[in-house]
Amino acid sequence: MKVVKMKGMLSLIIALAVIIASTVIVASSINFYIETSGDAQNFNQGKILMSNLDAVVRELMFESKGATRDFSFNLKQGFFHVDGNNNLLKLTMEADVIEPGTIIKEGNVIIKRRPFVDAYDGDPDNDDENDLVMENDFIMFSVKEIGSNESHVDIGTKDLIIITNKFTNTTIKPEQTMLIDMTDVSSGTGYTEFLNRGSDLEEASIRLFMNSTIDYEAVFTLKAGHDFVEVEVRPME
Amino acid sequence: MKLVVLFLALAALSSVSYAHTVTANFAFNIGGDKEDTTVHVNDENYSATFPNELNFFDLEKKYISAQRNGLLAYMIFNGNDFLNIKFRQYDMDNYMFQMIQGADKNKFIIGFTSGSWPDIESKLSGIPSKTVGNLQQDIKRDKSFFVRADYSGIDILNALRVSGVKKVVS
Repeated sequence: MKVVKMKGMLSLIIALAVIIASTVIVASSINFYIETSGDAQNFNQGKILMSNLDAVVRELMFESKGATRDFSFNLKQGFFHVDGNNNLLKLTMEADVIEPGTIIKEGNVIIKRRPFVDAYDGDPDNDDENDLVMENDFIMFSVKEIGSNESHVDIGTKDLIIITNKFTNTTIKPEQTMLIDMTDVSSGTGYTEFLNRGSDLEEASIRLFMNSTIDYEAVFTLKAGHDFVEVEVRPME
Repeated sequence: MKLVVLFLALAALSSVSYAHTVTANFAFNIGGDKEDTTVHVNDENYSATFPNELNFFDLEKKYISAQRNGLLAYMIFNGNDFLNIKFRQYDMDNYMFQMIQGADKNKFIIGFTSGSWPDIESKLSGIPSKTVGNLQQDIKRDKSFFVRADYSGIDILNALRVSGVKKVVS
């Protein structure tokens, strides 16, 4: 099965230099966890497997287009993913050796323990209209997808957001109104958009841009491990 | 001399930017109506059907919450310049939380979680802490982690999900 193919040589050389530097750090932290608990063996296995696989991919980067390698592994628990859409390899396992929310970045290899944030297009209220959804282990927060940067449309903020408590699967739909200098700016034209989207994120943000009596933007941010959303309102001078 | 003083005064005035205020209103209920709901603000409990408007300016604990059957909705000040919190009735089914703050570095925290108002108080000084609600046990139970490698310089052509003993040809 062909999994990878080469792209430009310049970017490959840069990637190799970064990974060589980081591999030393990965190896030293593996030693620490081996000594601390039995659970660490799963953690260790995952790190070694991905480091080895990463080394194989790096070898391929310097070979001709269409080069292949065999890579075998014995996975005692968890799942291994090859994600061709996002060009990533991912191993998901369980081990209680790092604190919840921990993120370790070592070159190409990233180790993360839940909780994470996912940001995606969805329709959690089943109204057949697209919503911008941010979700972690605790809550799901959605904002109606309206307009775009290129196409501003009428917006009212009253039925814009939904918050779901995922532990109880209960939802509130606050009627949200905004005022700037005590002037109602809850309606106007504008759009909503993700400032970043994807899976396994540290945080995600949704932006509401509004042309109203006073122009402003409101940014809603959900972080991994938070059961609340942070809202910042920024009037445009 | 007078001209210099006048010039300095005008310069000082021109450097003072207009201070905006921002107000966020959230009208909602928990569980479909206002029944059996306790609103907590300024160390006092109120029924969610409390008919009078409550307005607080010099709050030590700058938050307002509503709780019902173990569910907790709240609004917490996390900005730079707190002005006030207000509670009032909105319509037949909904009550309203309002918070006003100076626009500079403003931040509203809104949440809907499990717990009760003491959960907020115990974490208020650490806001934004990891969680506000009573969810720590659930976090500890989840041990899953992943090791991921991202490649911007190559195209991965396949999609695959496997477990156990496998041979992957790359």
